[in-house]
Amino acid sequence: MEKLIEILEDLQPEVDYETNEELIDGRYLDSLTILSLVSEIEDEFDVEIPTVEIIPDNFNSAKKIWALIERLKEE
Amino acid sequence: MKNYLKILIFLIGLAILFEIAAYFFIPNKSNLREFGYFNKTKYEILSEPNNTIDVAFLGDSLVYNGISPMYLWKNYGFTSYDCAGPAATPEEVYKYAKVLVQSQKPKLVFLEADVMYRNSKSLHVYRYKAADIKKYFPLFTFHNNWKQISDDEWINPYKGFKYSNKVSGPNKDIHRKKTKKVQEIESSNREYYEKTIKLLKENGIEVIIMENPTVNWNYRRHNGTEKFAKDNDVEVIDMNVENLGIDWEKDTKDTGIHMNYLGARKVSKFLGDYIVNKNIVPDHRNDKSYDNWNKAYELYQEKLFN
Amino acid sequence: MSYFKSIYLFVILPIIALIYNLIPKKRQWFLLLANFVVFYIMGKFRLIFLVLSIISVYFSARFIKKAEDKKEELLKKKDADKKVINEKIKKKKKLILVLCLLFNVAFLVVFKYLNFFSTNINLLLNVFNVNYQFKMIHLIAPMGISFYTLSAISYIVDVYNGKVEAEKSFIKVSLFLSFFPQIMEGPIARFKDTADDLYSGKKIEHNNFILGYQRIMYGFFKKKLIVDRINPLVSSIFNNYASYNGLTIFMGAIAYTVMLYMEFSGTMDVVVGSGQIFGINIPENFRQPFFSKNVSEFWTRWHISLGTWFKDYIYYPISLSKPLKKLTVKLRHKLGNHYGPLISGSIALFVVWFLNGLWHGAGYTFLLFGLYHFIMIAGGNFMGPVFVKLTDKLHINRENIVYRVLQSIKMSLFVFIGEMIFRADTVKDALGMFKGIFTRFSFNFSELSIMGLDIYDYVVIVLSVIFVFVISLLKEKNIDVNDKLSKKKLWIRWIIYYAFILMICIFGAYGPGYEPLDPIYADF
Repeated sequence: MEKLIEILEDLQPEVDYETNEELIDGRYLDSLTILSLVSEIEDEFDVEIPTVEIIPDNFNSAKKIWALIERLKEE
Repeated sequence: MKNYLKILIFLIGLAILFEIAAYFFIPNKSNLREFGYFNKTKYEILSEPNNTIDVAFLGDSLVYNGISPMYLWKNYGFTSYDCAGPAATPEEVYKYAKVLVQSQKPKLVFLEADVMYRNSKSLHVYRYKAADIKKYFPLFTFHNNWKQISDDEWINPYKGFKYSNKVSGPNKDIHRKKTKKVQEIESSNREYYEKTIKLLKENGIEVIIMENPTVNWNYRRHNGTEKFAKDNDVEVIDMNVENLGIDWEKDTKDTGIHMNYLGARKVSKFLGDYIVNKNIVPDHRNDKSYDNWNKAYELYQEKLFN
Repeated sequence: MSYFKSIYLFVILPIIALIYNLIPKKRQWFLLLANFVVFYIMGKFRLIFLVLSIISVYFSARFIKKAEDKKEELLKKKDADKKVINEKIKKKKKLILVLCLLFNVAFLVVFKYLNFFSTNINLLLNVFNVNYQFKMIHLIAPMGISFYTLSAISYIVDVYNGKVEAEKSFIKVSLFLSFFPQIMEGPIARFKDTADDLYSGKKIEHNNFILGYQRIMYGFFKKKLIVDRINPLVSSIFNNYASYNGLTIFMGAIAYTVMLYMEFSGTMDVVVGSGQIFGINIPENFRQPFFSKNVSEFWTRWHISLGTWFKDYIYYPISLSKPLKKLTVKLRHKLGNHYGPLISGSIALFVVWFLNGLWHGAGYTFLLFGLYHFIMIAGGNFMGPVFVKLTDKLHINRENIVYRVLQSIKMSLFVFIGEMIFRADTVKDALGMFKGIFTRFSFNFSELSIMGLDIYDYVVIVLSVIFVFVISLLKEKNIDVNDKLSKKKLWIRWIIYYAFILMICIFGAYGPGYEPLDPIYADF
């Protein structure tokens, strides 16, 4: 989780990732940032995020992104 | 149940409101008030002063899309009116004719033949009749008067004509096979048209049956109309066989069924020449008492610029 | 046919609602019947293609489900070779998906693009002196094909990806793709948004009925007071742009954008309101787009359902495809976080805007419209960090209200030009108008008076636009006027209703002398 927040802060430093719950809906992360984020996560955590998982619901908060990573790891 | 009732009461209130509001918008100087309350919007010609119309065109949508009284006024100087409703039936044409002779003394009346071939009981006709309900609320007809509510005279620049600049051709070749076959006219339709002709003739009006150009036309109809005209001793002109120079792809607004403004100009020009040749209608263009028609023409021009 | 026809709004819709409510059970069956009846009444009776679409996606989804079940079964066997089975089933699923997509896209191509292709091929043949010409076939596209096809595709792709369970009930899938308020102009529905509500057949709640009709009247207001009144101005400027001054042409572009917004968002008011009556939450298609910061954001707030469709089914699948993902990783190390994904993103963006242009119609103006937006948005992405640095250096607060307003105005100017291209009859006209704006940059007040609009018309239009602006501003501040109004006391509500209806009836542009504008989006 800490690693993830580090990645996020690297990509877009102006957001408080502990509390923000509308990263996508509030347009804090745009589609280009998502592209970076996805490739970074895949590198870092050795998972593959299929495009179908790229929906606001999975990316709206750091917690949700983490949950997604955990889930993908298990699969 | 309570909620249904609420909605009902709301609607009744609305209807009353519409009628009250309409009072402020109905033109003052017209003979509308003499003819029962609901007739005034049903028969648009009632908004014209008595005995000012020289020529009337009775019929259905072919008439109000195809004939522009303002064009006729500008180019020929006689006054005319399109007395027509959508999907009109012969019975309605007869009723309109009755209103016409009560309020006007036209020299010439044209009757559209298309009406005689209408199936008066079809769903299509009922659909239009349902839309007639709005005529019970004059507000919908006269609401635009808020712009000239301070003027004491209301000028209608259309005279029953419906302007359209849409272009939509039939997208197919129009084949018209000649035939000797005759399309029968349904007896009740025939009856109402005969009554109409009789009524008009009794009032000293010359009657002419006309067929406006439309893709729906064919030679069987043409023959049927000729026969009907002969039986009733009236003149007939068929603008589908005359050379009007209609370009079906450009001059029609809905796949060739109705004329758009370009087509209407051609139809009106043809009819104008035809009427003037009869030498029975006057030219009022320089007559001071018809100044309103010149004003109406100006308004009409403005609208056409759209 | 348009949803704004009085006969639809005040006769057909209430009758359907009434009968729906009187039926004791299985209301969803009646709703399905109503869909087909309305489809018929609306004129273009090409129901068969909708039915074919429904059948194709329903059964394809079921076959995919069956393949999945079979996989489970095979995997349970002791000596199962997992890899082989997975591969085999995957192939099978893919085949079903591809066939279903081809089937549905084929109709779209035939009805919308065939003539465009044959015209172009004929031109080419002419160039090469080949003495053969393809015949033009005039096909009238089935109502709503551009919309329901995309909905159908989203359903089958979601099933394929396991995001949506293949639906057992044929009725439910049919309802989802044919709901009459949505069929003509969207929003492009997603299965999980509306299908359950549609199928539930709930009784109509009085409050929903009121909210729904309030919303519908708001849309009706936009159409009658603004769209139909401003239409003559727009068409006279676009039809004769060569004879007008630059500022007048630009005003035409603004007027068209306003008209398009009022027309489309007004239709959506009617659509969402109609859904609300039946207790169905149709997702919003607009979110006050003119308050956006930039063109890119604008397109996430205008025709939202189309934007998210492209994002989900085109943009991400392309930009996150294996080769492009590799490229992104590589470039990120060299160029940093912002410019790293830019190339993959731009490639996907280009495809999206190419298809977006094409979706609106087969014509070069639409392709140019797509290209224009691609350039604007990709350019914005490219310049983004530069602007941030610049504003930082100049110590400008980017949340400052003045700065925000200026941003929105700048964004709007770009949008006006985009919509001007969109409306122009040919690419030549679009470029001619663009040139005209800059080379004949002067203004003659008299030009405004010859377009069939008088001073009264302008007053009505301006006041109405201000009215819509205020409502939108409140919405932007999270105050929903529609909702607030429905909670007022009965007599207050009624007075407001009566006044509002009377206002529409008196100041609406209808009756002799007005030609109602045909729905713009229904043709796409």
